[in-house]
Amino acid sequence: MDSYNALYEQGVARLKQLQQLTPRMGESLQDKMEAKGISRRDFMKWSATVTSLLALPLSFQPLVAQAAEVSDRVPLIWLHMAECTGCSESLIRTDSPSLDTLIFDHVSVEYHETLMAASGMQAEENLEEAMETFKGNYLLCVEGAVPTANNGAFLRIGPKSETGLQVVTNAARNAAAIVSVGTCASFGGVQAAAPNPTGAKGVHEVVDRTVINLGGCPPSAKNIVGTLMYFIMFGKLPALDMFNRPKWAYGKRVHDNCERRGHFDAGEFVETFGDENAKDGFCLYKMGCKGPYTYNNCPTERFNAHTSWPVLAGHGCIGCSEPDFWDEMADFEKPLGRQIVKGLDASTDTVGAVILGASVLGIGAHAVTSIFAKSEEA
Amino acid sequence: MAQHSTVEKELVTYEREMIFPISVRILHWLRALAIVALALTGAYIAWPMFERPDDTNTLVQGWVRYLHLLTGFVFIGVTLVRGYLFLFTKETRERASFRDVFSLKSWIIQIKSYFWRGHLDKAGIYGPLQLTVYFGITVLAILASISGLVLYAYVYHHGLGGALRPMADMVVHFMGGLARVRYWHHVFAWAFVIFIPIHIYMVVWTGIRFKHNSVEVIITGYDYHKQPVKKG
Amino acid sequence: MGKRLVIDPITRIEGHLRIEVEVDDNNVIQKAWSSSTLWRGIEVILKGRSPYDVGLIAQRICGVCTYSHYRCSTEAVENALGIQIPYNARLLRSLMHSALIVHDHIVHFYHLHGLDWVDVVSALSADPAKAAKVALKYTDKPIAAGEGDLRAVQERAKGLVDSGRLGPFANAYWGNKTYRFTPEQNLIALSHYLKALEVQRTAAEMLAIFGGKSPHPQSIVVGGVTSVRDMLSPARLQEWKQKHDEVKDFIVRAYQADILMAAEAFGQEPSVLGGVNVKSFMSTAEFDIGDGNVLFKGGVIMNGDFSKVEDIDPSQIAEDVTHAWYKADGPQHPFDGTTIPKQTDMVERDTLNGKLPTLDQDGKYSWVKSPRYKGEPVEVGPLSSILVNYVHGNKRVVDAVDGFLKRSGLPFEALLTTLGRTAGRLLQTILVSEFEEETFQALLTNLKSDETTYVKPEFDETKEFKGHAMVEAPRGTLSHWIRIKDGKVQNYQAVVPTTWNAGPVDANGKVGPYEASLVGLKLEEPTKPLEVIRIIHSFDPCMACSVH
Ligand code: HEM
Ligand code: HEM
Ligand code: NFV
Ligand code: SF4
Ligand code: SF4
Ligand code: F3S
Ligand SMILES: [Mg+2]
Repeated sequence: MDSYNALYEQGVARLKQLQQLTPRMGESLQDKMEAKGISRRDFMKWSATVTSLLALPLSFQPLVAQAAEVSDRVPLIWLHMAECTGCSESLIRTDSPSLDTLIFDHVSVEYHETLMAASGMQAEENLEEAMETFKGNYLLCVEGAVPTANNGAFLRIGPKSETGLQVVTNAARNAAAIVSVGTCASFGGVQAAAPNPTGAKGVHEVVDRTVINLGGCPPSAKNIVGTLMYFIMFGKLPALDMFNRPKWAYGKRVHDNCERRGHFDAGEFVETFGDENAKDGFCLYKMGCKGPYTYNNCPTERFNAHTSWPVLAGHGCIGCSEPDFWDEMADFEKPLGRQIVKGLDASTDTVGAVILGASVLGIGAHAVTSIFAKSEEA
Repeated sequence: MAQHSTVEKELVTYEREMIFPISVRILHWLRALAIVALALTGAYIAWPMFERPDDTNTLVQGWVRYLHLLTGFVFIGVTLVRGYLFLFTKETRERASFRDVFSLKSWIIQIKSYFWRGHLDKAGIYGPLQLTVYFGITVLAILASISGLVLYAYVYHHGLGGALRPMADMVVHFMGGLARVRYWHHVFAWAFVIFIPIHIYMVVWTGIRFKHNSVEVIITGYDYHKQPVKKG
Repeated sequence: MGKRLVIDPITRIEGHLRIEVEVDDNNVIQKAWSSSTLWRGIEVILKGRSPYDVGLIAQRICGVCTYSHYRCSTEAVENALGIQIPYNARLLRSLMHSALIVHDHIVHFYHLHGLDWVDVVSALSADPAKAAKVALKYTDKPIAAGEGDLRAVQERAKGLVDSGRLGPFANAYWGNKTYRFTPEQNLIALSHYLKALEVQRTAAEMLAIFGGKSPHPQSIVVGGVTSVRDMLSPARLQEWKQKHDEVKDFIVRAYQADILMAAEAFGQEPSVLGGVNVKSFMSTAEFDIGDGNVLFKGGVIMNGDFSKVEDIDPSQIAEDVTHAWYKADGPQHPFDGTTIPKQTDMVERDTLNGKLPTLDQDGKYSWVKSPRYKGEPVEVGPLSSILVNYVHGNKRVVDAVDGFLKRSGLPFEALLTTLGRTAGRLLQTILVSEFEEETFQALLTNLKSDETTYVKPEFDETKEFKGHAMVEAPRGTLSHWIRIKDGKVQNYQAVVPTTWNAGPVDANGKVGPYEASLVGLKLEEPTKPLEVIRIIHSFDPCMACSVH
């Protein structure tokens, strides 16, 4: 409880700090909400949701609400590196109806190539201006891996044709905090899968500062928005796990809270997709589910406003929030022991069985020979 | 200690020698049992092969995992005690085998002996290959235990599991993910499975070949050595 | 000697696109070059992997048309292995596909393309009461366009402008003369921009019901679909229906109305009345729910000959890399295609914005390859699909096109423009949204007697296989080509809609759709090139797709 009290104090101090910044929008949140047809009640409900999402005690709810009200002063710069834009697509699906746009307003989006109106020179100016004006105060989100082979030449951006590597190291320098959104930015992602032809790396490998890694391909909107909210509220990074992923979202394995876990423990498994067991919602372990080795909150938060998540849709988890999962977790439809060993055309179990068989054969041969061998010992 | 007893048959004298004290024997069989149980339950965990029972209240996987963990902890305990005995007991003959490990000649002798050439002479109770294998098995046991404990720490979040969590986090970080840990745990399991038949065969074979009590020795503790024929 | 203009980044698209143009003294574009400046090497990464895994990996080519590659890749494997998936699986895949197309088109029109048509600043001076009346011109039941709605939106926009920090709307091209909406029309469209943020979420949820999530659904496997429980749950089916109704409502009452409004307002705006300069169009058959009930037929219209449409001959597809950053001996058919990077340097040049590194037009200058059909560049996309089906005489499409032309008062030729390309996307959205109801009904009917969703593939790993699949993705015809040997992927090539459209000039000097579309365009103010951006946006560029 003490740590919560300390955190609460920190949150209050942070709010004071935010309130002192001159408001950029004349309107109060109240007006804005009315304009959007959102009642105070809806808003309080939403802040309660965010509070519990962040695994904070309910006493934090007023703080969340207040933070949301002043958070329009937190400028956001979002860069695209080597990526597929799935993470941005995930962000735009953020739920809690009507509040998504509000959050967009709050976190003043200074630069985001998928959303901004300006292009070319005008876009470049926006980026430079934001980095100068909000020096040391902006949140930097990065989507996508950083190609590093050939000095980063596989990605060039902007009129001056800078490499992605230059752009990201430049923007990282004066950011208040850096968030890698998605497995690409966090750990290299799909382009870093073997043989990684572009030398793609996670952002934390090219900047010498702490980077929050939001694993997931893509991470859910909840995990993105929740992390931003945490920073806005407390002005510091949330507690992080061994791969610098926020613990509130990545503290538990998919397997820990999976709705099919009862079937796992009972030994009830889907044997082929679409079989009777699949219709009964049995565990997907034998279909290759990597939920036991994957840290994420998919089973509890799900995707698309709680609509679904991969295991609910009958497909195993592929471990998309884990480092190097494209290589480590393949074959995706087989459990680990039956996966093909990298560089060998056989699975661990086949290799093991072959060695075992060879040993037994060797034993047999040795035993038979022993019978005929003329002992030199009397 | 070596006791002398004379067997009056065909005028051959055997020397009865205590090789393994009771502690070592008990530990050996506890460990052997644990390994077999761990390999079987582990195999099930890796590929749950049984048909489900008709009621969902029987937690097959749950029980198998429970057994696996129970024997896992026995295994860890035995490994620790056995390691202690090996290193610190006053009895020096086990450690004496180290001399053979660092002697090329001893290696040649032992390997030749497996190909039906020459006798097995050793400074301690194990040949150099034997000791190396047993040492390897100990390392394997430690690795299997660590990876097992890491997996455990993410299944049970309180008590020991919770206490192990920081260590487990470090291992997972070092390995690059929990999947890697699980994968290696699986590989270690295979190493044990392959060790068992070779081990049993070698023990039985050396017994027959060199005519001593190598099987019984781990049960009763005694080995018998033929003494030079004494005219009665 | 013309003056060069560099536009990089082109924003409000997926990925990294650089456009360079050369204008004459009257600011008319003489030449244009299109380049994508990121290579990830997905085709290289796919090699050597399990054919069961490629769908999930290929899906990461793009998170915007997510699912297109997943499905196409999985079906290429199924084609190679000779697998026929169950009827239910086909229907579920169709339902997911239609949800994707509808989602993608709504987001494209409102959030990516919208600001090329809508002047947000002008909306501030609108009279909301008058605007509410204007809205009734284009539909008798407008959404989010009542006087009160519009006033609220306007106040919100005002607040933003007054604050002096426009966020994503900052430093854009407001006030440009080619913006043709009245302030009232701008306000209506702005209101729909915000409303569409909600609607697109609902459309994405439709995909997630059977897909597990969106983007990057995870419910397709070689042999079928995994979401059997969702399919068998009446609650889930009802959920789908409900969301479908909401989205379709928006399409008819807002999206269609806004396009009619644009057709009226921009009907005389020269900068949107060109832009279709490659006159060959290709499109593949899509939404086949059996018994000959196919929404879109496939085919090619060559060289502006609208009297006939020929069937696509897959052997006639080849990719040229003369001006793309790859090594190859000549045009390659995708079954034998290679992807070997060979990047060259940019060239320093004087531009309208001073000295800058620019594209090496005489050498290699883009990561996009140049696909050709019978050696010709072709345009792909919703417009191509509409044209191909119109020429085919596909009744559903003919009725939709004729109805739209009648209501907007535009001639058929108006379809062959930037405006037409944008209208074509609306028509496709409506048709797909209507057809998904039929698909849904077919599913309900079939479920009475059949619950199969999967067939276990037979895969003899000692044999060699090759196969391909073509799907009609939101941006046009997508094909994946796979060779399998020793149970693994031996070669993999994807030929993607935006590759067809955005590729550089080929060995024969034939220019692709993007580059051709800009030639002859006159710019109001070259350093603020809204007209260029608008034309390029009308294709709905996706560079992650195009290069992969
Ligand atoms: C000779 C020693 C051991 C053998 C042969 C063995 C074997 C196995 C095998 C084959 C698996 C399945 C791995 C897979 O998914 O492929 C497994 C899992 C596991 N083992 Fe062991 N193991 C041994 C020792 C231990 C020890 C000492 C512990 C810790 C107390 C332990 C704890 C676990 C846990 C927690 C799992 C995962 C269970 C789950 O996720 O439900 N194991 N073991
Ligand atoms: C016929 C049955 C067996 C005989 C006669 C036998 C004999 C021996 C002997 C003499 C040793 C050396 C002494 C020692 O270190 O304890 C030994 C070691 C060992 N045995 Fe066995 N063994 C048998 C079966 C097994 C089985 C079934 C397993 C495991 C599944 C096993 C596992 C081990 C291990 C791990 C060691 C080495 C490490 C150690 O305990 O120091 N043994 N065995
Ligand atoms: N081009 C493209 Fe896609 C689409 N539609 C591809 O298949 O967007 Ni990313
Ligand atoms: S993490 Fe996944 S969704 Fe996000 S950009 Fe990378 S590939 Fe796309
Ligand atoms: S489906 Fe996957 S995550 Fe869920 S219980 Fe089974 S193995 Fe664990
Ligand atoms: S694949 Fe990814 S989305 Fe969740 S269930 Fe597994 S972490
Ligand atoms: Mg390709």
